[in-house]
Amino acid sequence: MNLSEIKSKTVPITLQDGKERHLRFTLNALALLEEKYGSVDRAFEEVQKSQSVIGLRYLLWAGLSWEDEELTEHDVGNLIDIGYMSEMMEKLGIALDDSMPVDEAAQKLLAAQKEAEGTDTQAAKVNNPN
Amino acid sequence: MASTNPLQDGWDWPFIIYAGTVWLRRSEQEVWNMTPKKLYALLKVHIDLESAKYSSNKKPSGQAALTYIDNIPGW
Repeated sequence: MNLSEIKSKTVPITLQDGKERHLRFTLNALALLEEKYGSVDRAFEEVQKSQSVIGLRYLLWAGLSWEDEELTEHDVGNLIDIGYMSEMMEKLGIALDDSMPVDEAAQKLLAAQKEAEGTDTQAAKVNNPN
Repeated sequence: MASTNPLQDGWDWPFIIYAGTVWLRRSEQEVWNMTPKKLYALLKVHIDLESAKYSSNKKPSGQAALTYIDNIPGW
């Protein structure tokens, strides 16, 4: 086991007040998302699909509250610049991935997929050399 | 035991709090403030150590055997 399997990185994010904050999804944050949306995946899917600012505000608040317990959803709402919604969603996704256990099975699957893609690319080149 | 994805199906919260407070002897607040990555890593070490203990000594009868962490629902 190496350090990356236990230590979660925090993802830095700077909102409209110019202050750098750090996203991390603790069990507390995940419980909040599950309570509101039914599951963590559904929370991310719904916010992405609907492009909801209220949803984004909730995700950000959940991911930032480990660092500042006094931060409210309302505070976060005042700090969001809608023009950067996709960047914020991307950072939230990275923070979520990094908070999750390193899944050996998933790693193996990804490696197998990459290998298969490499084989496909080679096959495509053979079939269509141009 | 059926394998589930906690991100899709929800977490087994009673188990998580039990494992964190009873097995790892952390306070409830410490457990809530851990990332799943950290809790998983600590539980894996705990289970490996306990399994090693049981395999070197004879397992007491009637005591549940510890298993791989991947067999625990919610992981």
